[in-house]
Amino acid sequence: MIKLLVIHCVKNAKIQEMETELENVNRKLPFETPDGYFDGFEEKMMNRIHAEEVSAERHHVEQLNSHRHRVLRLAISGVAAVALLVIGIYTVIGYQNSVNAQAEQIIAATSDEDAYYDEVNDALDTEEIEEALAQLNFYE
Amino acid sequence: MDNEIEKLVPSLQNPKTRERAFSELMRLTKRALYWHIRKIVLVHEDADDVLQNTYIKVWRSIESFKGECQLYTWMYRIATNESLTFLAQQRARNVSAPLDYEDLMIQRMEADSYFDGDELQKRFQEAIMTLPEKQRMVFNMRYFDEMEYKEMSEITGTSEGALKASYHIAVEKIKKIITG
Repeated sequence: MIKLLVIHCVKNAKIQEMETELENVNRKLPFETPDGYFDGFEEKMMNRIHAEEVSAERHHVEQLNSHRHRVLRLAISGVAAVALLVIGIYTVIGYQNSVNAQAEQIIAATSDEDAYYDEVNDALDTEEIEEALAQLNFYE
Repeated sequence: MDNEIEKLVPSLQNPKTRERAFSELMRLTKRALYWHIRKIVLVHEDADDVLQNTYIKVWRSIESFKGECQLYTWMYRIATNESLTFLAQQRARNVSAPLDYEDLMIQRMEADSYFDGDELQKRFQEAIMTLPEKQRMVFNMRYFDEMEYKEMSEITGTSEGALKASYHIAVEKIKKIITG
C-alpha cells in the first residue's frame, strides 16, 4: 500500500515537472519575419493577382486558339479525306468504264470478224470448198 | 476583427468593389494567416509562398463563398489545406534524400535566418516536429493561438472530441521528448 502511494506521488511529481517544463517554454513563437515584410503586402499581392489574371486570360485565349486550330485541322483533314474518296471513286468508275468500252470494242471487232467469215462461207458453195480442199490434198 | 471581416463579404462579392474590399481583407488577416502557416511550414520563404497562394485561392473562389461558415474560418481552412499540400509536395520531392523530411525541416528551420529561439525553444520545435502533421497543426492552434475547440473543429472539419484527444496525445508526446 505504502509502495503504491510512493509510486503515485513520484508519478504526480514527474507529471508536474513535465507540465512546468512545458509551461517554461515561451508561448511566443521563436520565429521572425524580414523587416517590413507586412508593409505593402496588399499592394504586392494585388499586383500578383493582376499578373495571374492576365496570364490566365492569355492562357485561356491560347487554349481557345489551340482548340480552334484543332477544329480547323480536323475539318481540313475531313474535307481532304472526302475529296480523296470522291477522286478514288471517280477513278475506279472511270477505269471500269474504259475497260467496259475496250471490251465492247473487242466484242464489236470480234462480231465483225465472225460476220466476215460467215459472209465468205456463204459466198463459197460446198463444191468449191471440196475442190479447194482437194487441191490442198486434204482427202488423201 | 471577425465582425469587420464578415462585413466585407457583400463588397467582396460585388465585382465593382471587390478589389478594395480584398485589400482590406488582406490588411485584417495577413498576420494571423501568416503565423498560422509559418507554424506549419516553419521557414519564412515557404510561409510567404503558401500565404500568397492562399490569397490567390481566396480571390478566385470568393464569388462562390456561400457563407456557410465565417469568412475568416473559411480562409483559415484554405490556408491549412494549402500548407498541408505544400508539405506533401515537399515530402514527395524529398523521397530519395538521405534525411527524413522532418529532420530536413528542422535543419532548414535552424538555418533560417528568421528563427530566433533559444536552446529550449529549439528542442520544443523539434519535439513538435515529431508529431504527425494534423496533430501538429492541432497542437499549434491550441497551444500558441489558444484557439477554441469549436473554431478548430470548423477549420479542420474534425469533431471537438477528436481534437481534444489529439491535443492531449500531442502534449503527452512533447512533454516526454522535452523531459528526455
